[in-house]
Amino acid sequence: MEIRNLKYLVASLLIGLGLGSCLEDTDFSGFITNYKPVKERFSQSISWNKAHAQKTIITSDSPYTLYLAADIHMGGTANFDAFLKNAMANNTAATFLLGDIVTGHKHDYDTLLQHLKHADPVPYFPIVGNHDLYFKGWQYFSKYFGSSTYTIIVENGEKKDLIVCLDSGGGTLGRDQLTWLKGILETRNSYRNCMVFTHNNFFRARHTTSTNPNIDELYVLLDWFNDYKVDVVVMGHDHQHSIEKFGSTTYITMDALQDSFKDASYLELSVQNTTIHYRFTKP
Amino acid sequence: MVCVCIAFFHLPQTHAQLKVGIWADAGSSQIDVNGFTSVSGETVYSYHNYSLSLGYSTLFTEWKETNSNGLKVDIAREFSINNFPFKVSVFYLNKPISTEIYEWDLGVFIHKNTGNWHYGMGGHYREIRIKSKYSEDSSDSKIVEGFNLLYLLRYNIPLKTETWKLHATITDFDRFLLLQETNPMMYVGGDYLGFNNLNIFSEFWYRSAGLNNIQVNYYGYFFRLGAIWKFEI
Repeated sequence: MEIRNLKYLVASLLIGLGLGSCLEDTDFSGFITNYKPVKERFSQSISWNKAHAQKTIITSDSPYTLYLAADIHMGGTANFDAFLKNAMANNTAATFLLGDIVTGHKHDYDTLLQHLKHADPVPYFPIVGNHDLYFKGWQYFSKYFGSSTYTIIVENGEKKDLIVCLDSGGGTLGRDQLTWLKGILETRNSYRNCMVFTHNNFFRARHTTSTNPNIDELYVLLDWFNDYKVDVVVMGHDHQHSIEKFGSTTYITMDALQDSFKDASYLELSVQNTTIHYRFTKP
Repeated sequence: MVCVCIAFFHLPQTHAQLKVGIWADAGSSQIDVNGFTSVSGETVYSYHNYSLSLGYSTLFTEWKETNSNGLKVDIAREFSINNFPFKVSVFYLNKPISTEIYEWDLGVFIHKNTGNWHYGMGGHYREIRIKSKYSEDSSDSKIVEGFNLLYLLRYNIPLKTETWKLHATITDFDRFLLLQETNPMMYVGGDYLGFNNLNIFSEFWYRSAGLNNIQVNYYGYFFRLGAIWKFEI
């Protein structure tokens, strides 16, 4: 009897340790509370934007190429380093990191910053995902990168393209960010192409336990993106790529770039005049 | 403000019942700068173990180009297998999103009452479509969600009076809104049963976003006030 109890104890300890190590990167307080709700993050992002110059990419290349990655979940940096190396080798105009870049821990943010230095001079543009916000991660994101809601203007010869980066790390854009987005979309006609990048994927191409924005928020976004003829919406979060075409908009959900992910890939967007090609590339 | 109450043809047999419900919602969510209001109605004709219901909803909010919020048809049958009674309903929902976009859903739901508990589970197929007259290429005009789980768990709080009923519920759907299974809503409600053929009910709903991403955000709330008339025919 005592030996059996001892076995249960040992088994419980092993299971507990196993779960503990798997879940040490998950901040369960997020089930009931939020350190910085989207309203506050958006407010901080806009304040930062106002204090800094408009983000601009200037390129004479035609086509020009953007490299996008999501769900790196650093820790591991092998795939991320390959992504940066390829971006530099292929003279990409900019790289974008669409959320869940790190675990939310400060040491992972520090690792990210160290590795981004290797990408110089290719500009990089990060957006928060839900994992980046764990363990009060917004304080590091905002300290290192300033803003998670912003626009980028790509000056390509005489033409200009608009890129809108949105903070969906909390599962909703929130009222203020939506109002801001509507204002930005109303300038759509001033640009040749319009692209929207965010973390949380919109559609449930497969069954997962992760959350998408509420369906009525998606109604609004689908309606606006259709009305304003947004060309491409790129998202992450789901870890498995999928493509949906809806009206004139192509919705792309990316694979994870996480080291342990079997089908890890990043996305190459190639923009030539009004045509945008995409390609998933293994690191 | 439109409420559609459709009377069904009347079969001459006994055990038939007609229920006419109307309710109004007022609340706020992240997509409404100045809040929203909604008025909905539903008529249910029951005959023996069968029932047929038809509902219509209107929504008033600044983002929506159309006030129509959905038309729903629901056919249900009560079963009892080995003294285990339950109800199965099949429904169709057509929901305008804008002048160009609409959603349609086809689903099934199984309900069960046990003591103070009411629970149920089902699923639905969802298509969000661009109307053909606004779509140049039909292959690019729809988003499909093959299966979305529907669930409801309600606890009826025991009371000493039969004039009042109170309950607390967690679910991922309302009559004219089918959320994704990972976005649960909670509401508490009460019914006043003091009138002969009339029930008055009220509910308070709370909605969140990002719960299953373990990064929960407040999303919205609304109050509901409604009445249901019952007629034996």
